[in-house]
Amino acid sequence: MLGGLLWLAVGCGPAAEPTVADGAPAALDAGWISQVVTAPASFTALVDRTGREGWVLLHQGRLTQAARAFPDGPGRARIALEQAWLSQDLAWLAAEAWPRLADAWVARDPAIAQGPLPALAAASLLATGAPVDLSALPADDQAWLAAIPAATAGQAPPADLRGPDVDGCVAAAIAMLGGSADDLPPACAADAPLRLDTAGSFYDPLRFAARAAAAGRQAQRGSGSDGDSDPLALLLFGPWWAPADLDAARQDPAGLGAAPAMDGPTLRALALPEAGAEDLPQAARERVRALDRALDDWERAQAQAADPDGAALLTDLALVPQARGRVLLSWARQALAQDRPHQATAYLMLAHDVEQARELGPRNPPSLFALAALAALRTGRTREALDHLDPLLAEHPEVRALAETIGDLAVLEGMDRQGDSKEN
Amino acid sequence: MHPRPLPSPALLLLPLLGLPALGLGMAWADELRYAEDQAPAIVNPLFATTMSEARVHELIFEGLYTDDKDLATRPDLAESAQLSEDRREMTILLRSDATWHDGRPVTADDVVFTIRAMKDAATASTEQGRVDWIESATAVDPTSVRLRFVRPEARPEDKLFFKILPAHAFEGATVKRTDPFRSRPIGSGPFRLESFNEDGSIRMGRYEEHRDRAGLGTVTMREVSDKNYQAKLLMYESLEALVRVLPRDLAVLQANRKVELYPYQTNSWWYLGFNLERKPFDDARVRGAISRMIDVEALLAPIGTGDTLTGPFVRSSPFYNHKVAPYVADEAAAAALLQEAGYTRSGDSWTKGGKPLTLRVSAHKSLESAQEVVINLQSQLQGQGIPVTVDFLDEAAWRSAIWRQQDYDLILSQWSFDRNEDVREQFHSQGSRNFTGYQSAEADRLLDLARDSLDPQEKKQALRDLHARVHDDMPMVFLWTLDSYSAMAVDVRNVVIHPFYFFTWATDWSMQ
Repeated sequence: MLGGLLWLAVGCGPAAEPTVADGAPAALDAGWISQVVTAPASFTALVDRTGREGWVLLHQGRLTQAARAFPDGPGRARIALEQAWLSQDLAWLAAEAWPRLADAWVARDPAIAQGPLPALAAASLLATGAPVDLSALPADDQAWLAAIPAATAGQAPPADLRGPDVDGCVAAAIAMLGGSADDLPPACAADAPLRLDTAGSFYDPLRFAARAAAAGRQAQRGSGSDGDSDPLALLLFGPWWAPADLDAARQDPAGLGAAPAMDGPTLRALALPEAGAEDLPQAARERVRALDRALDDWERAQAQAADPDGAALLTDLALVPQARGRVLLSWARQALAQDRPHQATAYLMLAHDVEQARELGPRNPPSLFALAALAALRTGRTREALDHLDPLLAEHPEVRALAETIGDLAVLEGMDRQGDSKEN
Repeated sequence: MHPRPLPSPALLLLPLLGLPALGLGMAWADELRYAEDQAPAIVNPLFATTMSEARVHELIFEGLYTDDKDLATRPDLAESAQLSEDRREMTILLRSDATWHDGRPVTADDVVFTIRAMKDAATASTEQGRVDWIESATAVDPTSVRLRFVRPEARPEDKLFFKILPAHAFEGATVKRTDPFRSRPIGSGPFRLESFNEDGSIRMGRYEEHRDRAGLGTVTMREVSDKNYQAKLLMYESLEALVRVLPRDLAVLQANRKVELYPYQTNSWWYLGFNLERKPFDDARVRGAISRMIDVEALLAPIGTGDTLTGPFVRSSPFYNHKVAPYVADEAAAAALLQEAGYTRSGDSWTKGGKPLTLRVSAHKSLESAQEVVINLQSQLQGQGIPVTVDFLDEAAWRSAIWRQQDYDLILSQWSFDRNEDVREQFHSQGSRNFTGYQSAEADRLLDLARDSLDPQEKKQALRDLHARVHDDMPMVFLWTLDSYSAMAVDVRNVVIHPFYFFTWATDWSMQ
């Protein structure tokens, strides 16, 4: 809570006029960091008005606690957005892991195809909007699976929908996807496997897609008057550098609940090198170095121009490194969407604050770990994906279910391998 | 090739920093210099026991198969292979363009020689366990080799990563650790050993005839046993890579725009291993008492950040048993166990039959931060009545005392695992790395089940049960896993690090 203490210590002096630093790209000056640094009073007013503890927790990447600290208002809407993005990243991870688990297991033991695994794998894909051919699956499974695309399109599923499990958790998740519920019943505990009539221990593959949908709706509902009246509430510690970037994102038909990409006007103005169409990590690293050169110069100029309160916020809250991390996270997300997982890995490695490697923090937001796990899976590093998920477990115990699924995959993929061990 | 001089300010500063004489100065333009805590004593993959050896072997030698960058198995010395219908035999065609560093072709005889030598008890290979699934190897012709397996194998190529040696470099079918090959190795890999130097450094030059010509001209391994200097040497451009960064250097290296960090070797854990074949450590009550005298968190705090552990897997492992509770430091419980084992507290020590309970702790000299840990451990145990003497062993003494003679009470060491986290060799009664002497029919059963099961969830559960079993039996006090990173100068381009072997894709690396 060091950040919180520091904020409390920051005075609320008269707001200074934004200063354009010599040599700094003007586009960066239009961002929220400049606003905070040059007018700390506006920042203090926002956090005081909407709930300081929640902002501190958001800054620390602790979304579950932040959600509890923000019962309503623009802070709550903002947390809902962050939760929607994280859940969507985890839903993509599930959609990568489940089909691979099903394929690998069926290849080793064809009898597993008679159980629920192929249908659960299909469900994970359908929940992310991917097309799936259901014709090879049993008719019973086809019935509940067919409800998923309709639900992702916003249609409430039929009330008598039955999923494959005893407690109806899968059906409840489909209802959440379709907007007729915002949470799962208590019987569907976050880290408990589905109760199935067949052997094997499997978890709900729809959980994260359902949570993404519900959180997206919550963000939409909450981004009413307060949120719109103070754009800083949407920008602070977030993935958009400046109001122009937020406006550009609002033009996206998928809405703000869709995972954000940092390709708005601010970064375009920096004219950074592209990473290319090939999945070459070196090109990604060069792109980050170009960004770092721009940001390092700009941060120095900001520090020089700021009054003591602004300069303290800049350094104590690590505003530039934190925002840099969000840029890299967005680039990683783009790279993954464009099938360049090695580049995504490079972005995420360079974003990761290794000093507190296994902890959430200002430079280690939860999506960093979720995306790193996805990039690891896509590059064959299934076991390493589990390393990335580990830091999420304390704040997001529901991730344990996904870790168990990926753990099964890691075990399957290593089954024929000869293990090696050495000292030191 | 042009020399790459050190920047002059760095040269001026180095003496002020008290940096040791390490042959600093000129580096060649396409040379990569990396630091190891300890240089390999020998270069022969049949006797590999340490990670530093495994990394050098990765540059000099090749296996029949290896990992591609997505960690899928791809042929290396193999060209293609056919598996028999019953999956008991595999015929491998070797690639025709693979040659040894002395120019001779790699042949089926080399593959047969290597497998037979590894299986030969007289060789006493530390890698023997990697071929015990192969019943026989036969050369069909100079470029084809037939392997017969002990039992049907689904994907035998996934196990054929061990390094192949040139038969013509040895006399007879048995390989000796002392064979001159150890300092004049001949491999088929992208780098050949140029010099094995007295200062502990190893210089490897690009093997120009290799089918996949390396971008680096030279790779030099430098022994920098004082880890406190390694980060400075990297920052002052006297090295291009650190294999493992000291945790306390991570912040400064991450802030340096000329350096990049890479996660590496994350499946590693530290432990204190008892000699179960030596009294009184064969008594579980004594081991239990010592376990409860140790404050693991207090040992870890000074050396870095990491996770404490309760068993032989890291916390993110699918095999880690999260239900196992750690032993907590509890002097009263420790005393009760020692009393139950027949010891009485007299003055500052525990005695039984007039003989005091003492402990000799052995640690490898090169194990980072080992001195700090051992001294703190000594202080903790002595404060509770167990006098502790300490031995820091060099590589030769370690191999002799620990691996061969099992002459120790308690060792401080670290195991590193590839992504399979296969602990069979450490805990099975027949395991080649089981030098604690741990014997448990139940552990053997669980390890056999884990090896043989085709159900991933059954395998996972078997190893979680093993975790609980070895936690209870305490052949070791499981300590921690540290956050582990490598550091590389940004001038080194196209770097992708193998999560275990490090240099697997080093042919793609080049200097800017």
